[in-house]
Amino acid sequence: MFNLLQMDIRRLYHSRNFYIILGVTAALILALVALVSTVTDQRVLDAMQSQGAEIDASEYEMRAEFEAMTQLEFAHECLGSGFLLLLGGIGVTLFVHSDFSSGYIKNICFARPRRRDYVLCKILLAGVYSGVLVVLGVAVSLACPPLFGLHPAASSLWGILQYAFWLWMPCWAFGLMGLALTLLTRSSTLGIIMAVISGGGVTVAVLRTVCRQLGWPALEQYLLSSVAQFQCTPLPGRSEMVMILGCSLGWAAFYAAAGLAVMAKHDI
Amino acid sequence: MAVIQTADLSKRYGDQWAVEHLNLQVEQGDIYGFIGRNGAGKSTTLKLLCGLARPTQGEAFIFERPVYDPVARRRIGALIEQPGLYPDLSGRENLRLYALLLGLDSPERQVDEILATVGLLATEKKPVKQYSMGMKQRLGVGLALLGGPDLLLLDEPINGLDPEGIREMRELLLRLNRERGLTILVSSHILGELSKIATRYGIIQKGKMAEQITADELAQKCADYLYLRTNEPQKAAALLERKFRLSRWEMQPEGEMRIYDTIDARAVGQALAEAGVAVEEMGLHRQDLESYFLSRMGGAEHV
Repeated sequence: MFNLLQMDIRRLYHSRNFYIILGVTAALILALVALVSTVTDQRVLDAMQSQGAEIDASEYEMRAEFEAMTQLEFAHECLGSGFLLLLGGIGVTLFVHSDFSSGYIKNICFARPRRRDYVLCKILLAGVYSGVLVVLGVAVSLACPPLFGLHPAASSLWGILQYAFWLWMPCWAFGLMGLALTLLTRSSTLGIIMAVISGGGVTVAVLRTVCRQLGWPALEQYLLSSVAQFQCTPLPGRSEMVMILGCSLGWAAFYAAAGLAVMAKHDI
Repeated sequence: MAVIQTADLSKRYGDQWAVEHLNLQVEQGDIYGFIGRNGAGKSTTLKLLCGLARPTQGEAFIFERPVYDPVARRRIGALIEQPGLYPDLSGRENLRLYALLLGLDSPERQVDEILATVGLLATEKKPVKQYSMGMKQRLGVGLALLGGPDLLLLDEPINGLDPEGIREMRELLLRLNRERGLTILVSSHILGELSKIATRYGIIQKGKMAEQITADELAQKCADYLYLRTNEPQKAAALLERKFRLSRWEMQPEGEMRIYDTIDARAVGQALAEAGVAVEEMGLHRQDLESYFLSRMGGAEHV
């Protein structure tokens, strides 16, 4: 299995899609920080007001709120929306699908006939993929605010590492959804659509509405995009940690079992 | 020793039997031509032999071990359908990845050897998506050769190749068979090409083995009649009919006699000479593999 993982990591290193996903991640964070910096700039607000826009006091106070944040709080403002899940889900889907679209899966399953090795390797690979994505996301969101005149208070290295770890857990589990759907359909379409819908928060919104309508408990809080947004706070408490661990491992086990079942049943 | 042996190997998809009670035997050193129409079950058989599909019934043995035995699998190289290659990576990188997957010792040396063997050293750094079909097929064979297998399973390796590519592939396979002693099972639609390299044939029809035959046996079976022209056709016909008790023969309008019975051509020549009949022309008419295959399949449908 480790030969397979070694091969996949080498392929990841040479993968154009991987660098595109990383580039988009960095660009989105930069754009977000630039937008925050622009719309909270007093000169910009003054200019907008002089043009007739209605600007109230709360908008002038936004700058102060951002300035009062720690680095991690600012990073969470950038990363908590779920777009890391979305991009990670798309990336893992494309990576796994390339085995099928290129036909290389035949070589892999011929050389390594135990199908579970393939699935386990891809589970580890999804961890590496989302790990790189989270590290890049956290690094860019920590490093770029000063470029745009924002200076959040410094956070400790330990706090940053902890935050990255807790954010990585749901990202990794979410990537496994792409793995399972690709193994099931042998196509990237469903994996990408579900990554966009779920990562974008649509499933959370729909489930929240359904639960409210039916009077059910708030089941949407167990979805991974909800976990990433509301539980992966800069300083998660014990209950948040349990929630992140439980939901991430639960969903990961579900997707892994689905992937294993599909691979065991289907011929190549 | 039987390199490949299947016993009632069967595979069903839904209600359809893709392969049914297939008994196939490939001997060491063979170049085994696996022939059948589209959908006859060739690719499914190869997938079963490679462990990419699981049999519904029956068993397959490679080097007298079950297909899933790791020792047996290490001795096989396979190219099934299209070569599985990552298009954005170079030929060398594709080989390196597969070498990593196989866990080979000194992979770089083996990759260099394979690139030289399949003639892709000059284009090793090009992304595979820029390769011609022939180059991709040769790289696919190169992947199959990594790890030094004793048996190659090649599914339609000359499909889509231009005449030059076909010639290169033929020479490569012959060289591998002669110089490295590789046993090769190769399926192909291009029967004329297959007949230039195969030492044994298996004809599969609707998932069942219709016939297994060596190249020598095929040559005999394809010799479908003896033809001769003489200065006295009627005298020759009467003589031969009486002497050899011919039951199946005919006289063509232009005086050519065709004998369909199995008969020794030298004995015919001798009998005619003793009777003072001069033989102007005599020979065996042979079918080619394609004609034989079509007659065996019972029609000239698309192979």
